Amino acid sequence: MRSLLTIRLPKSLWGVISLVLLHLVCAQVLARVHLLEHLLSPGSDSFEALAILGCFFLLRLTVIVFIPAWLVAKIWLRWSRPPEA
Amino acid sequence: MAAVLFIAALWWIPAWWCGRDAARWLGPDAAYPVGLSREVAATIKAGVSEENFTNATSLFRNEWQFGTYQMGALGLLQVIRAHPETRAEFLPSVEQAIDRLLSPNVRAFDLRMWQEDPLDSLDGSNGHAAYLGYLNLILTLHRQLVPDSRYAPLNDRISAALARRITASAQGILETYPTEAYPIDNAAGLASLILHQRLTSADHAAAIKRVLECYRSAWREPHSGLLYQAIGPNSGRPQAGPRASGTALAAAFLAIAERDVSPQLFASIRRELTGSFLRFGYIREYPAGWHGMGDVDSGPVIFGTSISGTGFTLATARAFGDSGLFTRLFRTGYLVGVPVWRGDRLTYATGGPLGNSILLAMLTAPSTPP
Repeated sequence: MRSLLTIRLPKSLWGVISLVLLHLVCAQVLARVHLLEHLLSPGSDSFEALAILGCFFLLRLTVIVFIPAWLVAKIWLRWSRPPEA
Repeated sequence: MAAVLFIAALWWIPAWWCGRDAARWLGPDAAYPVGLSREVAATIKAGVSEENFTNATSLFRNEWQFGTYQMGALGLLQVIRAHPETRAEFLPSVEQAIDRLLSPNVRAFDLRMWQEDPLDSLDGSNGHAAYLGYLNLILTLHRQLVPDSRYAPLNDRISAALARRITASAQGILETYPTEAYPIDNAAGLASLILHQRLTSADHAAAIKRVLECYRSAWREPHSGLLYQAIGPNSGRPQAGPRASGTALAAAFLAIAERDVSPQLFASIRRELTGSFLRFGYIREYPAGWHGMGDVDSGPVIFGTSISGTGFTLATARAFGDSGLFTRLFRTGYLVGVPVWRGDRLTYATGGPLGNSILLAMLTAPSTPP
């Protein structure tokens, strides 16, 4: 049986897996620090919190909204490619 | 063909993924409400202080501390009502939240604004609409579940004070703070009076009738049907435009107690303010023809979208059985709120103490008529 590390996946797919894992870790970390207050009512010390939230939401949008659609299109392109001679 | 598939997947997959738990919140499944209730109960047990909040104004930090306990207690009471088997686990947390709401530390914001304590001045004439109204709603709902509630005498005294002050008021609206009056804050007090009258032999009919009439017409902007955000306590004239954040929470509170005005407010929100993008629903803060910025009521208004209005409308969509709108708004809540399970507790990662309490109260709003 082959281990996960020996499975040959396209580089882009490894990138997707990394982003998904990063997103899961970030969500768990965010669950332990309270940032909504900065979002609802930014104070003078809120810049860092808002920057972190902005980056996280970009990552979340990428993982939940764009990556699934990109994967579907990618699989279609791969499936419909004419066989190599 | 790949582009068509990309767009089709963009349309279908994210909305499906983010909305897949909506049916569980709408149905009889207790797992999710209980999970979020455990998070809120843990917050109540640990306590929140002004330091937990970031707003530069001490008044708002203190208000949010109050709101965390009030919304937490409301959500837990609704969960106990829908799932009676959770009573032993969550009723102590409700009573702990009420004790915290009654503590001098939490009611300090109201004392500071009025220069008199809201509970020590029940025989007086000042409104104290927010503190007393929000608190009395919780006390009355607690009494529904616990007929021999130890808070019953206080519940009777606050109800009598609210009814008397409404009857004596110039325009039927009670001030939250001196010269400031908001229909949203009065909605909680009105709901508490309706429920209190139903539970006890007290007669608040005159006060209830007067305020309901204001919600039907005078406090609503005629074109949109939405509530004005602020009303002049002496003139009765609007002091701020119609907005989602005030209307949606007022409709949610009223829907707990009555089904006459609250469906009208919900219908106005649905007609004037709902929108969706990629099947993710949102509520605009201002109706057509009105413009403004975000503030402490609405949160930041991003491309016209109201964070508070979107969250509060979850409650009325659920209460009035609009599962389509509930699901669309739920998807947005999932995307922005970032729900995460930590053991047997469900927490909204960007929520913090106040956000989790509000979401519990909105996601468990009673769907059966009172």
